Amino acid sequence: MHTLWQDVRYGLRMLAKNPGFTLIAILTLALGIGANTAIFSLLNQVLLRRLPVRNPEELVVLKSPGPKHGHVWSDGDDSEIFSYPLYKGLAKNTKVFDGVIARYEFSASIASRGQTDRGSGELVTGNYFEVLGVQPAFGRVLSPADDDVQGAHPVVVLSHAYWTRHFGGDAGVLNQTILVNNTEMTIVGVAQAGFSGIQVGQMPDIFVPMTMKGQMTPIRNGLDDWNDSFLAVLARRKPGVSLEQAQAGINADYPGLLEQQTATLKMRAGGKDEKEFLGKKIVLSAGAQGRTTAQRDSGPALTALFAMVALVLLIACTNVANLLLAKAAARQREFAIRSALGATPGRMMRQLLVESFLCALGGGILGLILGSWIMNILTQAIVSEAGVRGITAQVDGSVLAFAGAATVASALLFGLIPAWRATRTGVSQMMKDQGSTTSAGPGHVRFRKFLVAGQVAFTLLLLTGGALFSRTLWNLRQQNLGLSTENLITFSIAPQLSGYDEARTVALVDQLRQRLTGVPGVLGVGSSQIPVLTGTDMGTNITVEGRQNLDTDDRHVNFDAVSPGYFSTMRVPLLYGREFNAGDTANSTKVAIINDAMAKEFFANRNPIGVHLAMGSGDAIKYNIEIVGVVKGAKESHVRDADRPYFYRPYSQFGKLFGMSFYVRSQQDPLLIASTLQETVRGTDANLPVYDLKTVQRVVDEDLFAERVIATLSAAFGGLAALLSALGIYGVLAYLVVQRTREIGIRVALGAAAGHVRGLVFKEVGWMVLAGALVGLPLAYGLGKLSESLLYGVHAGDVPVYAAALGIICIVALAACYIPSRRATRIDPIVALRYE
Amino acid sequence: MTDATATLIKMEGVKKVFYTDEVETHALSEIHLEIKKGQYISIAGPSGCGKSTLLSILGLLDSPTGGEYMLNGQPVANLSISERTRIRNREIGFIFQAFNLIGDLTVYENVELPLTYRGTSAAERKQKVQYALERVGMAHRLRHYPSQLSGGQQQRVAVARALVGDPLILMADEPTGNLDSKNGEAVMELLRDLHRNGATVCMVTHDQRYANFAERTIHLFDGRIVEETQEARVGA
Repeated sequence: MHTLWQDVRYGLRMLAKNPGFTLIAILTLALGIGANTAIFSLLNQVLLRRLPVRNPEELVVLKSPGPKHGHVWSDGDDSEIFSYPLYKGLAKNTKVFDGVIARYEFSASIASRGQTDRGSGELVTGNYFEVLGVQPAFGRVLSPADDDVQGAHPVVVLSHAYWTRHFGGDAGVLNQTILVNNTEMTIVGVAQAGFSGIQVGQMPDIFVPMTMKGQMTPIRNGLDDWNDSFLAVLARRKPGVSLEQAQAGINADYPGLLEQQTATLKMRAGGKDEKEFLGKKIVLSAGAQGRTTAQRDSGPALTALFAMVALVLLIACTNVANLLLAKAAARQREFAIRSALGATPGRMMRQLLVESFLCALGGGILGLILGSWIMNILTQAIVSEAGVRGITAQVDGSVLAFAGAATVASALLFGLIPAWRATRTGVSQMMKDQGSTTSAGPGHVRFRKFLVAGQVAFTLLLLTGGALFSRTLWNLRQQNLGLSTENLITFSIAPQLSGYDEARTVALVDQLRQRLTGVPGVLGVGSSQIPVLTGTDMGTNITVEGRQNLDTDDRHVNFDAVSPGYFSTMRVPLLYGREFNAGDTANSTKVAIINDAMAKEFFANRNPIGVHLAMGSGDAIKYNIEIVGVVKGAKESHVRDADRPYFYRPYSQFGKLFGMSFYVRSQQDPLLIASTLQETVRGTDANLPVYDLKTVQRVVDEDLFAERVIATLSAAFGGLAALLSALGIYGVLAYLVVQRTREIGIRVALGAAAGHVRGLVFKEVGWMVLAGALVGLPLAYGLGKLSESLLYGVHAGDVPVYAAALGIICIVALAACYIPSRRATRIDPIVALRYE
Repeated sequence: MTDATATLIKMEGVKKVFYTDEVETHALSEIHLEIKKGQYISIAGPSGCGKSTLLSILGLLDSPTGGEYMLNGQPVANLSISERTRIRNREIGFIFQAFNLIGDLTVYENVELPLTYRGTSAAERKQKVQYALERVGMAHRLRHYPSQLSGGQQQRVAVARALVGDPLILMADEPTGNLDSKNGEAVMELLRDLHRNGATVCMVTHDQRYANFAERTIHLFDGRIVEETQEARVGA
């Protein structure tokens, strides 16, 4: 212990003696560890963290892949969504499950203490807290008794975060009444701290009994409808029941439930559709992390980023290892003396490793600070732009543990080999090296060159990744959206949350459109139920008049309810027929406009104008919607979307308007009229909140948020790697030039011109880059292949991307060898030969 | 055969002064020297007398502070770096005390080096390297690295490298300094053989025994030529 303390003190002295080395090493490591810590923190919160509930490993998520019928309100995977009657049937299974729960997230307008906020609510089944094992912080949580009769229990449980944020942790809130979506609800408790629902990225402020759905989403209740699917369902396996056993157990019940649902559908008996529908199974997946929508959506990107940032740390460690090798070479005399005095290689190695650990510790501490800073920026962007809630920049135990592990791993990575190499050379060899009459022998710096070649390989990998992702973003930005974002601003309202019924909602939207059109500088106003490019979809099965319904047809088509003037305002070209107009009212002929992809798929050889279609399928449908126009396809859900069939209906004929988004095109910068738009809405109804007021260009940016983050971070990591590689190449070349001073002197004495000497340095760097490229390019191709699902308009084998990456590394290498080569050409042979 | 009357090197009043912060050191003063083609000249004197400085100037590794230096009839004192490099490569062959072979290169590659810088074709290089190594008796060690050779063998390779490009003059700076007496004698014999075959040799040595191998010896002391011996003698 005493000798270890001696080593620590000596190590600190050595680091202080070489402040340049120490500063570069610590900063290099801090960059690597900091970037890793930030990405790990994100990865941990999104991909790794388990739900803070009792025995989370017993939880399973229920899925039912296969055809769906009716309305599906999904935030990603339709197979995870069930109707309430179906849930009730599944929940009866007590053989394999201790309990089955369901939840549905909804937008909540919460009024309390004279203030109305827009928040997030979660409708949960009465057994939700009991099955999860979530306790109240105080008061009580919901119980099955709160969920037995529809509309009978207006009670609410606050999330701990909302209670702290909104009520300042006031225990007096218990039994107080708040207004949620225009319904008076009594606060009965606060959920345990740290519990924020069962889905990463969502953070409900309030929990409401499922049987209050009619009050929370007044436009549609859906609790009695087998064909209205909106619930995510989880279950807790009984102890000792395996996943396979549970799956077999629940599938014993499922066919009977599907039979019941089929009875509500007018499917052709014995048809392929029916067979497929009845053949569906329940598939269980691990539910320890709850619903894995966010994991599924962001997993590949986060994993790719984490792999990239790990490479950055590896490059940083390689750099420090290279610096240490140079330092160890300069300390050969010291080691010779220590060895001559009886120090064992192990003892000397320990001394060097202690120095490495001290260095790594400095890098780790600084890295943690840097990581928190990076994480702060990332978190702000994720919350504000991606709308993902519950991601924090807090440094918790796992982040600390990761930073610690990264520090120790780094110290071993960069310290072990230099220490081993420095102490394995015998005293006589060290002395022999000092007295050599030839310049450096073969293999003397081979290891350092090998390290730099490795750095080049990894840098190429990162640069290629950066280039592929940047190209993806560029391609997405160049995408023809089918609409123009120029001077276009949008905002949304949710009249149903303020007590509007269907008829009043239509009248309100009509009135608002008229008023907004009158705002000075406004060129056009349109509105739609589904906000464009926000990942929201609404779909239905359709049947087209005069078209034979084939079992092989996919007749599920997405649609939207829009206003007159919508297409002209959005600048979506009308190809045939007409736009909706004021004459398209609830009482007039029902009409629809289809996009060109739908026209192509459903009307390949005929004119769709005037043809009728029906929403739904089966024998009892009515062809009561007339197609009056065809528009060019526009991106509706995501910028990435491929062209797909889509149709539009006038909102006046749609009925269940649960929200409306407005689009206002102005002559100038639309943000200049943003406050006027808000005032106009307020002037119509002072209690109607306006939300998501932003330019449509910002909506596009938000839709590309993940791509922007990946492109920015991967480019930053590539740049950082290139910088570190430049330092590595520079360090090795500078060392080589010093080490080969005499050799260069000899060459100059023998007639080597400046070009020959520069050539020597370039040859060195050329070999390192070539070796790095030979390893790095195939690796980069492999990484590209793995990441292909994240790419758009570019593929893993894109030659210009590789050429660009190689070009950058060549420029970096040339820049790095500029000073060493200049120094080399300035070597005076007289001075060099005096080394003898 | 050499033309004994042709002057290869002529120095008039050459001086070399080194300047440090406050000290001015006169390494060479008023050097008047003429070397004819085919001569074997040794520059002798005690340590620090300016022998190596004079050889560096003679070999265009350094420039004089004053005076005139004509090499093969051309003034060379004020040539550009690239011109001096070209002349060193084509007209001067160096032999150093510490051999100064390049450890990463084989014997063949070391000897080939001056020809590579000259842009000689590969075939011609091969022929000349082979011939030069045969002249010094090292043709059987082509693929060896310097570290695999004895000191005497390394110096023979260095001599081969010096003469491979058919220089006008061989400049040898204490060529026996790192060798034992047996190997030292062998290298001196080699230089004498080269001279007998027409080579002009200029050698710096502090050892009178080896100085006597030359047909003419100039003695330096404190940067000045203090004595010159014209007769050729037979070495010990």
